[in-house]
Amino acid sequence: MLTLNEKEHLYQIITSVIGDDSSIRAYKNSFTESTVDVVEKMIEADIKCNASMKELLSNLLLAGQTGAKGWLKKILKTQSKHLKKNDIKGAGCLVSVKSRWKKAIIMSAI
Amino acid sequence: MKKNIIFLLCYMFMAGCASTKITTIIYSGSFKLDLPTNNLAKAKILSIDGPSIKFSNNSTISGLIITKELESLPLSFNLHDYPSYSLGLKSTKKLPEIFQNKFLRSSDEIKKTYKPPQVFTDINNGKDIYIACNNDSCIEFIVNKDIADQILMITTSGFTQKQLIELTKGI
Repeated sequence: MLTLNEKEHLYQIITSVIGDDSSIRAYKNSFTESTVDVVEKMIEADIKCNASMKELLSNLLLAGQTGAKGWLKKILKTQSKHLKKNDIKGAGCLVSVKSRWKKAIIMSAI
Repeated sequence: MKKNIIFLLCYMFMAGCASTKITTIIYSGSFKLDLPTNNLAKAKILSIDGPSIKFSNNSTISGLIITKELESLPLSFNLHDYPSYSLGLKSTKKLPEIFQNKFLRSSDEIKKTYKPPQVFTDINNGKDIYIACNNDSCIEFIVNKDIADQILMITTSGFTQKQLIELTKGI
């Protein structure tokens, strides 16, 4: 089970990748460990919807090591203070790509 | 056609399928999906950029109607090429640079997420199907050659490629 703080940080990571999204935000309090798995897959797919993605990856690398399955869960539970809030710096991917991950994130939270 | 879908979903959900009542999920006036009503028992239905269903066994299916307006594509863009560009099956060199980059990023991500796509024409209704899956999830584009202003993107989890093709036949 994720703490409120972990859910908040997970949402910040999501916004770093696909931008702020009111419908995802509406499910933030229902995020689960399955949501962490979905977001980990999204980051590993190297989705580049946002110029902040580079900054996000730097922060994640600072916080720990990406690689083995479950790395994001570990970072959220132990070192989430390293994850900085990012601003949206421009949409760089198709709406359909963003929508596909958005659906997976919300489905994991219900 | 409907009998095949009913059999597939009855098999997937191990549900009693004595009834053949059908529920229709409407993505647009041109794209509709028929599902056996029995299989919607205990399902969660919500809207995430279009109708989305999480079935009782946690498998999911969602649809998104893609238009030029949705993607801010130029009027001259042929929407029927959208799946080929998105899946990296067609060169984007003739597109304006901003769209080249968007499609290239998309195809890179799809290649990392799914196995190589398959493309075929549904012999039952003439629609072009583009589908790519991994072990857990699939993406499918359905193009109706007679409809120029929209295509349908289906995303699923918990369905095999074969199951998804069978399920969306006749959509």
